[in-house]
Amino acid sequence: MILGHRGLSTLARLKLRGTLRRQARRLRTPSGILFALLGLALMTLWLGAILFNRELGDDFGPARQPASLVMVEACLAAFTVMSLSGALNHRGIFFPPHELETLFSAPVTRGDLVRHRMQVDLARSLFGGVIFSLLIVSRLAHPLLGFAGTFLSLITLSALRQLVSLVLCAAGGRLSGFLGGRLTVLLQIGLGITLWLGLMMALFGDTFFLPEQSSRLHAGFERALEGPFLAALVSPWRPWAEMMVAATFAGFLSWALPCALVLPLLFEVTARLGVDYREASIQTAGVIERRIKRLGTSGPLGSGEVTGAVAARRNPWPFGRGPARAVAWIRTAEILRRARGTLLRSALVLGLVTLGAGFVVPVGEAGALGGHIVVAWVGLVYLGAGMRFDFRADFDRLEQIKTWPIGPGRLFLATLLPGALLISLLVATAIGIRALVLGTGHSALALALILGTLPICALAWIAVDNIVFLCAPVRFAPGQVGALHHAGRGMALMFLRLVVMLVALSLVALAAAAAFFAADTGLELGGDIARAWAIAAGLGALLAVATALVWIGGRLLHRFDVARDRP
Amino acid sequence: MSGGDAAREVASPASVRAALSVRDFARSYGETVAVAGLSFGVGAGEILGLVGPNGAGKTTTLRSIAGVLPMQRGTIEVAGCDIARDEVAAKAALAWIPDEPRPFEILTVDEHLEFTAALFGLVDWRERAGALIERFELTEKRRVVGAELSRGMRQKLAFCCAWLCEPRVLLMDEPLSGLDPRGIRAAKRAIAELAASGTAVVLSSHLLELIEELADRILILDRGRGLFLGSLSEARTSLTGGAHASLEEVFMTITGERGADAGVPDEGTDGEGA
Repeated sequence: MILGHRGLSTLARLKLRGTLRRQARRLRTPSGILFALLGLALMTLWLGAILFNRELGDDFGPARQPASLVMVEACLAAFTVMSLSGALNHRGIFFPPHELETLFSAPVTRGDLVRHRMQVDLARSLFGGVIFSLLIVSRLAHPLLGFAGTFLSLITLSALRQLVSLVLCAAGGRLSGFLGGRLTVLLQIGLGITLWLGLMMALFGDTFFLPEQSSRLHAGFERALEGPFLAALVSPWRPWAEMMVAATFAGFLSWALPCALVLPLLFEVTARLGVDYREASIQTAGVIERRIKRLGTSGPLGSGEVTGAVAARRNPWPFGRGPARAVAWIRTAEILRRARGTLLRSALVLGLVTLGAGFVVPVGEAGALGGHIVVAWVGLVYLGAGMRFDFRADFDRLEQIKTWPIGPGRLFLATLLPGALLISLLVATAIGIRALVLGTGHSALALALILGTLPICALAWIAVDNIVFLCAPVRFAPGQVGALHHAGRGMALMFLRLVVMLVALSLVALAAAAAFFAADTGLELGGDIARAWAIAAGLGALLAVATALVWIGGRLLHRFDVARDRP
Repeated sequence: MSGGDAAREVASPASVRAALSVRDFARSYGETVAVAGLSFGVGAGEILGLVGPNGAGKTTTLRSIAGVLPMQRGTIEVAGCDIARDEVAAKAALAWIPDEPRPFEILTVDEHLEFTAALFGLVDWRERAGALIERFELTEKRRVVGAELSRGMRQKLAFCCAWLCEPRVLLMDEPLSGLDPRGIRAAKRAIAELAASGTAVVLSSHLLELIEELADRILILDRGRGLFLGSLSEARTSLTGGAHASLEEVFMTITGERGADAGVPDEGTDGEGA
């Protein structure tokens, strides 16, 4: 019954074999082995940190209070709200688009397809479930029982999510249209995130706060949750919470048995609902495929969908007319048409970074300037990786782009410039706001220098990113096979980019220092003039570095063989 | 009768119960009507050519017959099984090759056939699978995964999977796109032979020469409506008045008269017109 159709079991088995084969094939090259090892090292470090945190926490850190029952109930409730919010947007049952035609025309019942999908989801969530369980287990009374309880709760929630998305599918467009309206979904996600963050703070607050602050926060949350209304609201999660906080095996078993029975029941109820989810699934698959493609091309911050109303707007030509300017215009159009969501998310992230930089670096003249530099640096790295309005997004069109009647250097510059200007604008806004809020008496000249050099730095950083991409064109989107390799490759590429940027900045610093000493010691022109010389030389060197990077990018673009590597 | 008849003997449509029967089929996407009240039947061993301009409703019709899209109105029967009420049995009798076959990225050619065999509950399939792989020139690609196959190879793999399950009804949407001349020739021969063995084939294509060469009858669609259903010779006589007009001329004549329902017979419930 629960196993489903034999053909679909064969498919699952063959896909597992295929995944392992693909992983093994990646290990045939030295770079594949290196990236796999790097990825493995990263993961080991991460998991090790989680486990040692648990094992050594009591000896080396402050004693941690186990989470109370009501707190765990509330955590589960918050997680359920967040998880089910996703079901509102993705009705039906998700199948990768390339599997739809085969599976929907196959001689199997829809119930079998649901079972197959749920089994695949369950297998895929094993890893995430284990990690999450390891994370939370440090707050539970018994590590092993806590782990098992958390894991069972998470996979039950995954099944519940599938049931809800099928019920919504059955209820039709009207109900899901009402519940899934943009405002309602935003509210639900907002509520879920708030609840979640609040509870995480209460549970893990002592990592960020002093012990007494953490205890107060914890106690405050518990008091709020013990109120009659909230206690009733979170009570449906009682069995799973009891199972997670159980301190003895007998206690665990008494709750785990009914909870374990609920899971297959949910499985079968979901599979037997008899909902015709084909239409909704085709729609969902299309939406998810487009989103994954955009994530893999334009990056997480540039993956907004362009609606008809937005596309109907005429785009300005900010750089004037001409071949290279036309290229810049296309990029500008792309940015503007995806700008709303991108800008909102970017503003949110930059706001958090700005706020964080205010805490991390002590305020004062040097501190304020240091904070500005932190904001600028994090902003450039984050936005540069997240917004890809350049060759990383346009790789599929590179064959066509290479035929355009523009020199490769100009083409490279025109492609990168609008994105660099946008990133500079966002970072400059964040720094400007921070400077206004802090209001410390730091040097206006230093601030002007930071703001003035931002576009050149942004251009240089994105140029390095694109140069690396043109040398090793690799794309990765969530859900793809090879996450371990990608993590290793990402780490190696980040290291490479940092080295290139450090060399570039060293050259700039060297030029500025040489100019300063030449003016101050050699020509004895005085401190102020020597500083002006240093600034001019530094700016000149920065411009020279950016120009060199653009030139290198142009050469790489010119020599790039579109038939060689496909990301 | 049109080309391809030398390779096989088509059973008389009237004498055979339709392998595929479509009655009053309609389908819309929101406000847009994709197909409006379409009826036709295809007999065992017959090839029906489905032609029409872009957006005519050809792919929607084929995907609905294949069970990919749910039914909205009308009845579709595959080998006597209603696709809405007896879905699994209907699907067990048909094979569907979409216009752009997308194999499983991480499965090899051999594994695709293994999966197909398990899906259709086939026994003793390996020998036949080997023969099909050889026939469609995939021998050297047996251990290549779906993601690494070229467009033409993907098409050939889809052919192999469809042929392996020996369908009563075969639906094909632009089956020759991406194939090289040898592949096209092999595919045409394979389609004709499959039909000769008793499979009803529905072939949708913009390549009118292909339809002209293989199809016993043609169904011309435009804007979701059937404009003509019958043999090419009937079309020539009734629509162009010339006995030697090409399908292209017939097509242009009919689709030039948009909205005209001339030539669409009201088929019987068992597809007698097939």
